[in-house]
Amino acid sequence: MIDCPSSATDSITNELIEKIRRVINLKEKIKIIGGGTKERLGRKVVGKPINVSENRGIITYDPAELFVTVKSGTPIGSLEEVLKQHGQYLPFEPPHLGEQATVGGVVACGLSGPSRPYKGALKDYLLKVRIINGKGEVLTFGSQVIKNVAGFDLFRLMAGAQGTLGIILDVTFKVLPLPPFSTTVVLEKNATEALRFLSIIAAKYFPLSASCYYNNKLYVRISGYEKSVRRAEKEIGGDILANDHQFWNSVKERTHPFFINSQRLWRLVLPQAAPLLPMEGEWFFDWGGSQRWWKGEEDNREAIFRWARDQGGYAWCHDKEVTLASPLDTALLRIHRRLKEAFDPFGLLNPGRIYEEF
Amino acid sequence: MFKQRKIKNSKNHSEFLKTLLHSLPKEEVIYEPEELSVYECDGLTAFRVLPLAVVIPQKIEEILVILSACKRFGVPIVVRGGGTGLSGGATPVEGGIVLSLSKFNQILEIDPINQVARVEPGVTNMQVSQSAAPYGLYFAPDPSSQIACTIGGNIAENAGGIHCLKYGLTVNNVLAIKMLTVEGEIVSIGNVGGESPGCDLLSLIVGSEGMLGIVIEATLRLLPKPECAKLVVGCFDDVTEASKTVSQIIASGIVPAGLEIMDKLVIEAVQSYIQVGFPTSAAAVLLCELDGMFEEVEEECRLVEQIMIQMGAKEIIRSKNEEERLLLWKARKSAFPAAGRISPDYYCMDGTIPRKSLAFVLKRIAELAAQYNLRVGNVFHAGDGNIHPLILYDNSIVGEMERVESLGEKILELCVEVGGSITGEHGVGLEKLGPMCLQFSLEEIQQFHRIKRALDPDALLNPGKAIPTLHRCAEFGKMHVHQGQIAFAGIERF
Repeated sequence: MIDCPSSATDSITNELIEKIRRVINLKEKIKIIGGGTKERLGRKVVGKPINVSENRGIITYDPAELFVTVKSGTPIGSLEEVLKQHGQYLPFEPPHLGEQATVGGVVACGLSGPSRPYKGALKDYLLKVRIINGKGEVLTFGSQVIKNVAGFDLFRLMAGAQGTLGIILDVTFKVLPLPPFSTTVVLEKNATEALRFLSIIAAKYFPLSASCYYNNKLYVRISGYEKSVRRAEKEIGGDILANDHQFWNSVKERTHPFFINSQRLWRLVLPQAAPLLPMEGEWFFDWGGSQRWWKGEEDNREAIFRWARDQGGYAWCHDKEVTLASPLDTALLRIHRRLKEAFDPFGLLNPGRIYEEF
Repeated sequence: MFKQRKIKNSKNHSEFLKTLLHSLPKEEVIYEPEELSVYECDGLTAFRVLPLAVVIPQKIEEILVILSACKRFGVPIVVRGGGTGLSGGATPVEGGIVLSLSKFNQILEIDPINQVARVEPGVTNMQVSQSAAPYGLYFAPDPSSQIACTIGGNIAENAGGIHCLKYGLTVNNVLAIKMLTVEGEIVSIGNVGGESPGCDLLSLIVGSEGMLGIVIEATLRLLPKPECAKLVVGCFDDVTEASKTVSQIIASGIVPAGLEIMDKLVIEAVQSYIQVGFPTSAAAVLLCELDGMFEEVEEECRLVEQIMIQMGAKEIIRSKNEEERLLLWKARKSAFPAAGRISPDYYCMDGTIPRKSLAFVLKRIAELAAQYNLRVGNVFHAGDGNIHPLILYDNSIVGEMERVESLGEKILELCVEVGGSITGEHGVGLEKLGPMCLQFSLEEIQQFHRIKRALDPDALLNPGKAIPTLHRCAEFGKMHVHQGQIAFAGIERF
């Protein structure tokens, strides 16, 4: 069990809290900065920079309890390294998108990696979050236990809110044991066949842990006890992929050749079996077909947002410096505005980061 | 903090009822006292309030009409599903209506390709799994009342069950909902693909006890049925050994599908009720279910048995077939009715603690029980630390109920002290408004209120539930005083 000495915890965090409160009292707009690796995943924020990356360190980690509490500025890579030493991991495989990536940034952006359809999303592994709201209040929601239904789940609300509702101070994650064995098979299939095949194997009790499709190849990762994995591997078929860890890391970190040199990249989140898209261009399917990346010439952003919505999904457009999300309908936008006001009545925290309106 | 706008006089009552009767088919509006009494409580029968009326609409348009009338007359709305909740979440509000969604009971779609079920809120939890079974799929959250509880209720309470340890709670298995806002707008929240833009409103709505909107449709994640499931039961001479075994199993890297403990009092009650072969000499039995592919279940059974022996188990029972597995589970599931046979009354507590605190908390509960001169049996979800102490008592003895309540409060205080929660799966409802003040600070409770106001400014939806007023916390004596500030200064009172 790792416990950060409480005096060290208090001095670093309290210093940060005081600094943030001073800025909030002056009613200055705040731009929250961690490792600076996810600047591109939202809209530009204009405000006084508050850097939380010095607020780092593991507060509590008890492997037998399957949870870890960590300060938001902790590099996500160093947290994963500590967990690995104890045979555990964050099953949602957070994309770092850069070496300086912090825990707070990963949570704020709600990022989940290739295992997401089979192991769950980041929000499924959040147990507790301590934040400072826009009134300068330090608030804790959730607890270190997985079953807790007291009050509204405001800690999960922080996942993906991009710092618009609160500045994350520390986070408690549920962790799980690393699977003892893992392998990846590659099958030759076209896109339609690949999606159909993924539906079939996902409905069986195979220990799948990732799947993606690119350029007529379907990649399926299987993780668990060796005997089970071997049988699943045999029943699924295909060739074994050498260096599969490297491959999945390139998918997770968007360093796969598909993602290189893209001036504009579209990300669509759709039902897994949604039809193929009517746009010409280069496609990469992740999350068993639910997360679809596209590079193409189409400039009509609204048409793509509309198409994704018609399929029961959403889209994000990653331009060189900014990410725009599908517009929210009027009622949803109103709810978001009111939530923002409830946490941050003066609109100080990362204003306009996800949508211009809040 | 909540603006409760009660109807003050009978003239308004009758005007409101006239409006409902004018707008809805007669059979959908219940207002005679003898018929209303069916709805005066949910599974928590200690709280009873006769509603002004019960409405049972069949169409969304009718719900909109009801919402509109309630807004016009300022009448609170309590949405009700199966009424199986145990914390009073569906107890009517004085001067308010109960909106029963029991007629919204259709499974709209089972989609085996995307592995989802689209259902109306009045569908029971069990029905979803039954409908998905022909495709080899099921809905993982399994509250004990799953035969009767509805998906709408599961969503309101973020219900759990035995399989939460491995497969998560309701919140982890709902992909999308359609919800009516209090303004009467339909909003779609969530996405079958697993992610949506903006904030994660889905997680906010699940578990909000019907206070933020009316869920009219849900899209649920279906999972493939495991190839195989086996139950390993370890019988221990000491409940502490059984508790420590729980941590050892988890620490070994195994995540069981279920991990439950029954203590001596409960074992004896169950044995005299259904005779499943648990040794009554045992101080505790630990039930560990393992599921998955044949190979992994075999491997994990072997490891679990090894750990149980190392930790002092005197006897181990492993289910040989499905029939035996279900029989052993029947023992666990019969614990509550069995307790009902050995005591005139019992009060089932619900709290969560870290696994490592199990032994300490059980010992402390035994000490507290002795102090209060009450018997307490323990049967609980040990794997996720969700404890259910059963306080046995006799309501006909004057003053006994008060002692039970006081002991219950001490137990919840203990849960918070060791880093847990005052409720693991039953919800706060009316029952735990006081204990909420143990777990949350003044500022945190105020934040909850601001969220409520953001989505329901006039507090029409299930007002007075789940989040205590600051006034209540002050009376409960648990309000935090920050840095010597005068207690409760500036707190809104009403």
